[in-house]
Amino acid sequence: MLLSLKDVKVHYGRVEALKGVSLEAEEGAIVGLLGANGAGKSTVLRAISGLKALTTGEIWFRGERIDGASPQSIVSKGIALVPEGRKLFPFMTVRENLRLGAYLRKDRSQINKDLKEIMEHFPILEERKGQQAGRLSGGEQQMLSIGRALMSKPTLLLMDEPSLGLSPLMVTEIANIIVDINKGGVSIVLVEQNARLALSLAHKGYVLETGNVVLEGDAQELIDNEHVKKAYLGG
Amino acid sequence: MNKAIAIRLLLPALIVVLALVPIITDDPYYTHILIMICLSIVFAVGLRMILTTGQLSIGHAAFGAIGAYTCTLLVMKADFNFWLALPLAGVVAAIVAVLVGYPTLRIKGAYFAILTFALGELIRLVFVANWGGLTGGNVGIMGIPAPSAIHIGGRVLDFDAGVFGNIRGYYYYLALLLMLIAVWVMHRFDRSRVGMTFRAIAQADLLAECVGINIMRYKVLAFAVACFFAGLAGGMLSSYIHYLSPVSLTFHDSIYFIMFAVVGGVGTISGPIIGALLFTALPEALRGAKQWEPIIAASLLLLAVLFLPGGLVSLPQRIKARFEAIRGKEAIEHGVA
Repeated sequence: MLLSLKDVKVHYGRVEALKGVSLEAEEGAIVGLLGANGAGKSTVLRAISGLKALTTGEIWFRGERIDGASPQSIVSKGIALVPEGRKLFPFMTVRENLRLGAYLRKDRSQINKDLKEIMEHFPILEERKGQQAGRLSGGEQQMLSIGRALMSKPTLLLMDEPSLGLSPLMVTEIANIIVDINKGGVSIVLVEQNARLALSLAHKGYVLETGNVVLEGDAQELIDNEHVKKAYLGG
Repeated sequence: MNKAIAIRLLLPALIVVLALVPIITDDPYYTHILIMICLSIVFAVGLRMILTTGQLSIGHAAFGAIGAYTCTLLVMKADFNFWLALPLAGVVAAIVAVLVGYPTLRIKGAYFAILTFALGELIRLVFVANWGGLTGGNVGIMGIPAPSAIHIGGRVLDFDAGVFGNIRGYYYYLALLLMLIAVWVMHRFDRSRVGMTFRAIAQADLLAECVGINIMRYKVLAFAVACFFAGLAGGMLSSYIHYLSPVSLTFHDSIYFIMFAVVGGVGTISGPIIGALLFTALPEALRGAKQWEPIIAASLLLLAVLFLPGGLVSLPQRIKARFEAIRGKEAIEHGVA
């Protein structure tokens, strides 16, 4: 198993955000995390990335326990986060943002190669490479955010609401990009409020409700599930 | 391109002119102003470095005071040579910055700023407390000696005697040297990967952590380097003025350092330099209206914050942009576009 969470509990102050979450992601898979606002989806990603300390529980990545490790060491182990809201370094250029994605890497020539490759993959970023990131459109910012995460050469990509606030056309484009990245050998944990999108992309899914995993299964199983239909797919 | 060449030519010329000042004038009053400008710049560029990591310190003068007391006490109570005591003043200020920075730099925005204010007051009270007669309490320390004379190949550089007929000549050279070193070091930081890391933290600290930046380490680094230079400037100041008390470097000065940086502009290193120049020279020019000085200074700060967020250094570019906008509009009206 590439990634597994075992009975993870997380608190914000006295509020228990995760009440014992266990989930697994296989090598090469896209795993969807569904749930409403405040269900704890983002907290799961923050816990995996080392940005939020666990109260109890364990997180294992490639046979190694990673809970308690610093965000830096988790990035260097091959986990990259695309945070919610297309977070970028707004006053830096597109190119600088991508380079900062490779912050912990030392292989300079390979970094330049990867930079070129990502620019080829996202031609719009090549076109705008000298522009300030804060001046890009929403869709362009999301691409840059994804490109930035890829620059760390992750084996596991954590994506937090990549479709949020994008036009339907752009959502389709981001969906294609996610599939492409996965085909390139990167495993993905995808957090989405857009359940339809998440389940169409994912191999496996988990449904989170108020800090608990209430359902899990193959994507198709979840699509057919009555509760999922009613609560997340709009009947 | 052109600009880069111009800077390359102008900078050495400017440094040569600055180096000739004691020959050009032996007026102790003007020399004094120039010394104060140099020391102000050392404080201001340091404060700007802290600002580039997204933190605001309103206790920066306190680190100057730490340097001043360290240098003075080492020289007067422990018989250290001034030239050893001065770097140690910087080191002690930097060590205090690291000890204070680690627990407090986690706190962001106004809270950190308030903390640095409290810290500045605390440090002042430590000096007021007059530890067994060590610091002189509120009275302070009088008769601080000039830096020890330097012997170079038979020549003696005696600070009390001055140079080129300028009684404050050597102090001026020391202040100029400190200023040039501080500006050069800060400039190197700006251009380096570390400088880029500082800016990344200021722009999006959570994301900076996501890409693997140890943000605490870098914030503490910027704080410590800035305080190191504040310590040096404070150390020199006490030896130059020959007197030191808990009110020599206070909250009031810290606010001025912020004004230097903000009115000048924090985007580039030239901003705080221009700010320090302006605000140190201004009170001298306004001597006849001394009581108005704080109001004028505060008004300038408000105007800069409201209308010129990039500071004075952004002014030429803004005027240019405005001109181009007008020209473009005229061109459209005349059907040329």
